[in-house]
Amino acid sequence: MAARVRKSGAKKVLAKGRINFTVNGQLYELGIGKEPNQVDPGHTLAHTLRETLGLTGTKISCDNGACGACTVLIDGKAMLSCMTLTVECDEKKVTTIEGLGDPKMGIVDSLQQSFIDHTAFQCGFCTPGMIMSAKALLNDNPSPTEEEVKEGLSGNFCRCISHYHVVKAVLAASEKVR
Amino acid sequence: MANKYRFIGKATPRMDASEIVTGKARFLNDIKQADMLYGKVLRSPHPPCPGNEDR
Repeated sequence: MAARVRKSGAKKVLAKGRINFTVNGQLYELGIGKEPNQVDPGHTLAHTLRETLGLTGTKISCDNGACGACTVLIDGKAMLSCMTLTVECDEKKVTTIEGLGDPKMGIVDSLQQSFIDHTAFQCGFCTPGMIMSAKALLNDNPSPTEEEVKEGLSGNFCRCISHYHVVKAVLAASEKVR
Repeated sequence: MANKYRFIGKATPRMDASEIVTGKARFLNDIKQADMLYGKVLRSPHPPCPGNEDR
């Protein structure tokens, strides 16, 4: 399940008036302010990713930390980007769904391929969050049991009820890693 | 028998599968247009209440 609590570096960011962070390997430096290309201290990471950086692969559903659709990796850990303020992400490494595999070469990550092979989605809205949570789980625990997969994805809701296929896809991907 | 048919008895990957798993799939909230209007539903804080229609 994605985490919500973290140490805050927000004060430092507000003092220097800009934020530096890496998204999918690309370094961004954004000013703090109200302009469209700036980060407001009240903006969530999900908002900044989608509206400021145009990375709409990260989804916002409940915007309340309940559904897991906004899950991204921050320094390798699954985090709810709708419950994280962008100003807390200074000098952090963020990975979104767009950062998996090699999109320019059209190569998908083995986990993404497993989701395709198992058709582990229906409408696909929750899928980016599911994949990011699963990615963090497999990074920590390369060969999880079925129970561990379910526990790891317990914070991701799918209203189409494609959970069964997701569990199969993650288990199959973990076997490939093995 | 399986070879007799092109699709029956075979797994067929969904055509939009690669877009979905890479986050490229466009949902309504992902679409941006120039001069886009934003709407929001204003609801009465009270149960059915005459004279409380949206103004």
